[in-house]
Amino acid sequence: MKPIRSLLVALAGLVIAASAAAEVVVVVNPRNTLTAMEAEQVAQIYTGASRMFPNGSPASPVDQAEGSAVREEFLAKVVGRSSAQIKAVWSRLIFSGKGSPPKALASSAEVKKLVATEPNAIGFMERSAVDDTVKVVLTVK
Amino acid sequence: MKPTRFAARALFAACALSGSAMAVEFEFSGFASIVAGRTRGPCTESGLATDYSDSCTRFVADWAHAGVYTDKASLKPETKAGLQATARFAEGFSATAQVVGRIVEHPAADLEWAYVTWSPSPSWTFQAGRKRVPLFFYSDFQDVGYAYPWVRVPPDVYGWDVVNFNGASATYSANVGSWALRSSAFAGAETSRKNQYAKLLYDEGKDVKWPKIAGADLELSREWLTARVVYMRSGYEQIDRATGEPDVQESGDTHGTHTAYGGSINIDYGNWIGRSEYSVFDRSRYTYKATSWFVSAGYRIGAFTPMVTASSYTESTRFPELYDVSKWKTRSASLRYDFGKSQAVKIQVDRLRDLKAPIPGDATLVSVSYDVVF
Repeated sequence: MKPIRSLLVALAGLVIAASAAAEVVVVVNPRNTLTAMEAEQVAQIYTGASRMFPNGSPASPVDQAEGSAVREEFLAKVVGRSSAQIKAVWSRLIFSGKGSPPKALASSAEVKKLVATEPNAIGFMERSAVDDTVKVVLTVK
Repeated sequence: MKPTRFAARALFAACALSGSAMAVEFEFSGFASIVAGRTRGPCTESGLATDYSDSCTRFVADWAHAGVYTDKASLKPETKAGLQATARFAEGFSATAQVVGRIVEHPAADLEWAYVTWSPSPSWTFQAGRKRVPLFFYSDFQDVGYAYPWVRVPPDVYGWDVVNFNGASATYSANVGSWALRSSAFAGAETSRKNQYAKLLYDEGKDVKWPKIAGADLELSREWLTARVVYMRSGYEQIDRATGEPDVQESGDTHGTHTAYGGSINIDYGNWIGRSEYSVFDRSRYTYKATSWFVSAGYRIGAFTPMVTASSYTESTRFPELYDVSKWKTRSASLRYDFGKSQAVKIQVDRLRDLKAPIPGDATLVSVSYDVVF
């Protein structure tokens, strides 16, 4: 392989790797009857505006660690708010007794484990972390 | 749900409370704001009580807690800290208490919120105890500086004599199409002793009573838009502490009912931020009616959020021979900077122009704040 061609292949590989890392999915328990969700519906659950899935069943969201790459992606692309904005929104709900924010788990593996066992759970993770113990309802690039 | 089943659940919760400590989950959270400010400008006449009229200029930043800045820099009017504890029991029951300490108050700390919550489903939440009167969009969290873009919620709108009450509320949440809906009904009563708002206006101590509070609100949100409307009515009476007698209003009545209604529209469109609120307080049958509003716009640039705000407070009366109406307007510019995990610093300049019988008088306020939640 010529050096330039190999460089191009390597670059292409990097681009693919970068876009793969940037791919975030929203997952629910496989028993959940939903097959797809819109970003707005997910955003309403993560901002405390709604405590239910679009089909009316209760939703218990789980978060990931503050500052983690996957959370930054999720907030930017699905919720459309910054970390500080989300914190301000939840401050309102916490101190007026209208709700408490989703618990943050340490990794996508932990989110997957919880979503796989809790029928009402909803979480997010990198596409690469998904397996058949959870159901993908939204993919964003 | 059948009453017996409800009783059984309540009993179960009580057992969980007394018996197994393991079943109870505790959550602690808190907030604090350190705010400094001073007024500037040529000396103006004051219509406030004697205690608040010494300074050349003055600015009422918090009417409900008598937080007033003067031409000497001070941390006193608005600096506060709150601690909240929630105990969660089984079956959707929880108990919450929030203590807020303010430099301006004596005693310095007060149990401002204490309520029990029962949330039998994601759609319904019932609360009973001591809560905030949800008159305005920011009422519930106006002490939590971190949760809004300015140093303070606009005092021209958020300036009333009663902020807390004892009572109960029922809240319903639902998804309607792609809208998230939240509606609540509330009822209760409040007697505010040594009322702080009245202290700003009268040299004599007053108690303010709002008996038979009843109201409802409706909030709708979708994507970049949040809209809310509210209606409330209650009894109203102001009692002179020295004599124990109710004050006689302009109509000759010693008590009456008042209604309050209003709405707010908030926008978060990309980096654009819009905040607005309109409110009417109607005590016109015996004294006056007040209309207030604010409109605020800003644009987020990374961690910085600059905002400009216009607000106004206007009274009208059926008793012009007996009651001098007030009217003033305020223009503000503010800048918020977010840093760390959940901290913000803000700087704000407010310019108030008093247009009728002077109450606060013209003034320019410069204030800075540090806000945190934990």
